Amino acid sequence: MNQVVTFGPGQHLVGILSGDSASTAPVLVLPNAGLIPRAGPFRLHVELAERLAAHGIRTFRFDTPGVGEAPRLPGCNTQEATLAALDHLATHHGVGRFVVGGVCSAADLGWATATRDRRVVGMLMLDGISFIGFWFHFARILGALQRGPRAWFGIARRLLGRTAASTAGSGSGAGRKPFVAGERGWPARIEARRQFAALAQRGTRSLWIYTGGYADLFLHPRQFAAAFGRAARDPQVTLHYWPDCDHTFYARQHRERLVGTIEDWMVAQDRAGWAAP
Amino acid sequence: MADAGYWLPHWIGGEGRRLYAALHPARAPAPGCGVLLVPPLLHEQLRSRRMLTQIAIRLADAGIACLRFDFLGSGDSDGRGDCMDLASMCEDIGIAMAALRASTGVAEAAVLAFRGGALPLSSWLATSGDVDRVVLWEPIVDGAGWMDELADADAAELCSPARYPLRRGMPVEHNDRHLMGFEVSPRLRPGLASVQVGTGAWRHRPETWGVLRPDVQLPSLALQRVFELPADAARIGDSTRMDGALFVSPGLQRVVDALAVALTQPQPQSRPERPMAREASAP
Repeated sequence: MNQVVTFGPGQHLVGILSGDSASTAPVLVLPNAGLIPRAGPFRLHVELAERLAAHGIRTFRFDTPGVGEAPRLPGCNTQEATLAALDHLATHHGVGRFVVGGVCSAADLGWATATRDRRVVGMLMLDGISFIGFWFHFARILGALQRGPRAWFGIARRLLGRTAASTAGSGSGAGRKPFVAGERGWPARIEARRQFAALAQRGTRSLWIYTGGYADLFLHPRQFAAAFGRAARDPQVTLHYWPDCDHTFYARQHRERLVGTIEDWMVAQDRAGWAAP
Repeated sequence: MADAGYWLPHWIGGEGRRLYAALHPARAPAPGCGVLLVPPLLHEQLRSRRMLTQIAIRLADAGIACLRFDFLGSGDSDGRGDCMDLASMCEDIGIAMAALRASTGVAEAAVLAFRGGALPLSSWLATSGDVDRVVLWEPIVDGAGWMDELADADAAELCSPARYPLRRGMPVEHNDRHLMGFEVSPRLRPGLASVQVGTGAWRHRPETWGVLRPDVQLPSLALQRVFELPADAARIGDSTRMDGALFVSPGLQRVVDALAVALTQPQPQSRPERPMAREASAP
């Protein structure tokens, strides 16, 4: 059963709570991804809600301020809106534990909320926080070599063009905006390692999936452990690298793979027992 | 019905077939006119969700009650994508119109349909639907042509190097039950392709207006008034990407305000054919 829920300052935020109200499992909280409204990329969140409801697992999808139906709310940013969602679900629906995350900015909210609120016992990290390093550059060079000499000229030209554009201090009109970690609110790598270790220590489970659509930031599965250290190898952490998929899971078969993977992971964690808040 | 401050999110329709809807009550002395907003389809629906919300808020501020809704199998409504076809969409429009009339008691009801939403609306008006006014916002009038365009755009997405940088041009396998990233019914494409929007096919003859780009002419529609979109108005159909949300620009605000003024004017007693007047938004 789906239920419309209003919450946040002035009750101006709206979410959809799906699933059995008698369930004691943690609720999967899905903020909107980027500027895509709460139904999710190609209704991903709706499909997830339906699949998890069959296992008695509830989901809550909502628009953060300024996205979809939600107005901009002075003094309430996306993190505060997410915490407001958790508070509302705890107070009015008796929910004590949460899994938070989603694609891209929603994964960022999962991370940020988990580090601030012990009620978050799991994170869904789809193309979330990442740090480039040796394995990223190794994979990029390997990929270029595999493409053969005919491709090398074009790669060199693009690299030189990018260097020239950055030297001139002008953004290329046709080029993509360079990625700036601070714009997504990511901590520095050393702080991220410390936070991840603390999350692992308190028993927070996490499912990480990186896609081929995130090739500017993630290109090799070993990049993950190199970035996050020992906590990345914790048995509570599950990592998948799907280079054949795009960032928003456009193709039905890719979305089906994603929904099935999340479903299996949520059910497995539920059987194993989540950490206490 | 929940209260989100300015509007009321709720469900309409029966159990197992519930549609997500949002009622925007009139926030000024009500002239007794209500508007049902029929959303665009597929990727254009989510891309334009914010814009439609802002338009509904602005119309409600002008005293016009509005109801937004998601078709069955789309947005936040019940059902998987394969539930949605032309027949279900016609039924949904009927359900939403009845909900608007029941919840507001308006004497005059109008429909404001965006882009592909004009296709099921036209089909509904050709069979059972009756409203006082119809406003078509950059309507798709040739269903078959639009389905061809979407098939081409979908094929391009499935092999887009920007979307799949590591597939090296190898396309993702096409699936007939997939269109523009959404799960669809096998009945959806032929259903929409069968519609040619034309006022001549409608059972009743509501006053019909258009919201169009200055250079667009739609000869199949007998439009009594046309509101011209300014250059800064978001183009709902110009991209396949959902991560670019569309907003109401200052120029578009003026068009919506002009539309609100026109909608609050009394309806002519009869429904005569009148020569078209084009109205450009003041800069």
